[in-house]
Amino acid sequence: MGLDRTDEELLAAYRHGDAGAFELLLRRHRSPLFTFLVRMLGDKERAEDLAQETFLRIVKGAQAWEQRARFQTWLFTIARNLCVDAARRDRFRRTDSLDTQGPDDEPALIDSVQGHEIDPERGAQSVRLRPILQKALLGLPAEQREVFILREQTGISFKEIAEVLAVNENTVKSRMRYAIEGLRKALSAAGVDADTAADDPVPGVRLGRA
Amino acid sequence: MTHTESQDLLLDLAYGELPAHVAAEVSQHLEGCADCQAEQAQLSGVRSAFAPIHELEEPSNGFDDRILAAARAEAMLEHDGNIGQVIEGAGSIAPLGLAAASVDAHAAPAPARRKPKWMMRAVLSGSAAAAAALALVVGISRPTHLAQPPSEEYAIRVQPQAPAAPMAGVAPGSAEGALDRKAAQAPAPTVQAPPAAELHDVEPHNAAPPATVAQLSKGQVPSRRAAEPKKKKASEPAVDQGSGGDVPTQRELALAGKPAAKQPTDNFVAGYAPPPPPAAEKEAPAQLDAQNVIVTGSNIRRRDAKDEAASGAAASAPSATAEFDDSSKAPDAEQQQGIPEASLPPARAASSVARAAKAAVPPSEDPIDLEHRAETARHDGNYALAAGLYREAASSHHYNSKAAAWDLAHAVECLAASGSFDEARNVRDQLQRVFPTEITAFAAARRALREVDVSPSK
Repeated sequence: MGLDRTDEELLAAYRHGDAGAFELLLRRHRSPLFTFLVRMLGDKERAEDLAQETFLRIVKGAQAWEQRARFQTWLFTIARNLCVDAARRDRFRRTDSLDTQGPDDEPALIDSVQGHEIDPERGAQSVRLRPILQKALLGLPAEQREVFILREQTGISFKEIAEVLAVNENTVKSRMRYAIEGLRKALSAAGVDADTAADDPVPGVRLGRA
Repeated sequence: MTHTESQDLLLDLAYGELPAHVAAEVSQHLEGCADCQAEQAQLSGVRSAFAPIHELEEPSNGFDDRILAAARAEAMLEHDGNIGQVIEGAGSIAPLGLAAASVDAHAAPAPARRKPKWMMRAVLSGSAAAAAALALVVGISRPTHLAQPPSEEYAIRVQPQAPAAPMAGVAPGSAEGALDRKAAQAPAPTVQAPPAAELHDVEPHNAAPPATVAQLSKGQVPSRRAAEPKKKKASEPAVDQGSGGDVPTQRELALAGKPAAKQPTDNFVAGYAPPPPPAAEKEAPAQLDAQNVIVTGSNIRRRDAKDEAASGAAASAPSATAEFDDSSKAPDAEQQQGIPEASLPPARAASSVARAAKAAVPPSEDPIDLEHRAETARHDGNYALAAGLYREAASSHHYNSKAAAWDLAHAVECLAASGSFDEARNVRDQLQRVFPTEITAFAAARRALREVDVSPSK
């Protein structure tokens, strides 16, 4: 039930009072959205807060929503803007904690990555890589990181990412190239050869919903 | 296809965003171009390395609850306009409103514009009982007592459709009475008797208010609009019968500024409330947790009320205090007797008011108890009375902003049902301002008001 309905159909049904339709929407999008926020923030707790806030805003805005864009675009636009706000707040906070923490200290990130349940089927290299990958991601400028994660993990097209970020598509792709270059360098710096890593593809990877 | 064109499209190719014929062209160029091959290899290398980021993370177990509760509340409100059962489902009160709602469905003809059935019920519920309820609510609602505006532009009008008579004798000094109404209970028993009689005497005058409600609910709103073009000006004279309430309102506003400055915005309870301890500030995610917090809060609250009584006795203004005391105790007495207020003949209602006044026992400040009484009043169709009780309950929820916010949402609902649109709007705005994070409660309140208030101003 509802599996064959598009996001937009579900949202329309919800707007007509079908709360079950919203539940389907939530089920469909909550993990990808939460994952996006975890990658962006490197902190599961904050990611959960923002994910919840995102959906609450969807609830609140559903009646006013006009179908100009896809639901998914709207969803990630909200989430991304919440990330920007959170980062802005962090900048103020960080000035206080720099002395004690150090700029490279990302304990929450590493924890969240290592704490993830590890599938024994996956190669040891993948396990070893994950903290490095997260750290590399967080080392990117936010505007490159969001483009890379949106495209790579959520499967949103460059054109829609441009909508999410309110920039043009060429800008998005330009940031994407920078992101890829930056990530490659980060991997090299960490002693990981991207080509070697490529030889050990992770099985069972679920691609983001297009 | 040139090298540059192809190179620009490598990303699109990698992510499968090219139409087939363009993809074929780029691939063809790629075969013979070492630069593009190198770039593509780098791209796919990085993508493969970062494949683990596809693994989906799952939020914790309770993640959906709050969202779905909000979604259901919105959906139901939007759909059938019967906020009562919705609030009870999502708020702090056990769901009891369904029966009343279903009865109501048969009680009223379907209006042209969809309106909650219970609103019609308020209109139909008999003029004598309705008059008594309206008379009582004049004292009960004491809106500015709760309002504590953080900004000065906040203007409040007391019960536009409420009869002026009980308030008419109130001196401007009544503001102190509102703030210190607890304080005056013990020392002023003799003053409390007359207003009860006054209430009784006033009954005949009150034939008008229900009629006003009826008019409004039947959509004769243009006249009302003409009567009150702008709600911000508390001093505006042309407000149905309720202009008597304006004078104390302004006074109260002026006074309210002082205690409000001391309060954290989160704690909207009137000036006598202590700031909540930090531990209780975090909103309880589950309703059961919230209940625990409430109990703690109410215990502390009683203590404070007593302190108030000791310290603030001298400051009270007799006449207004008596009004507030009487009316806030009336429901107490009725509930104890197990008699729904609406079923009492006016004279008896008034006498129970007097009895309650003589008892001079501090009224229950337990928000749960207040909520139950409010709920009963609401199910009996005493929306104005219910609104007052809900607001009192809200002010007693010192440490539970969610429950308080939902109480205010109920108050908005009930005020709207009783035709007090201005006041409903005020409470709605207060809810948003004081509890900015309680968006679901606010949405519920907004919907409740929108369903019944057809005036153009928001």
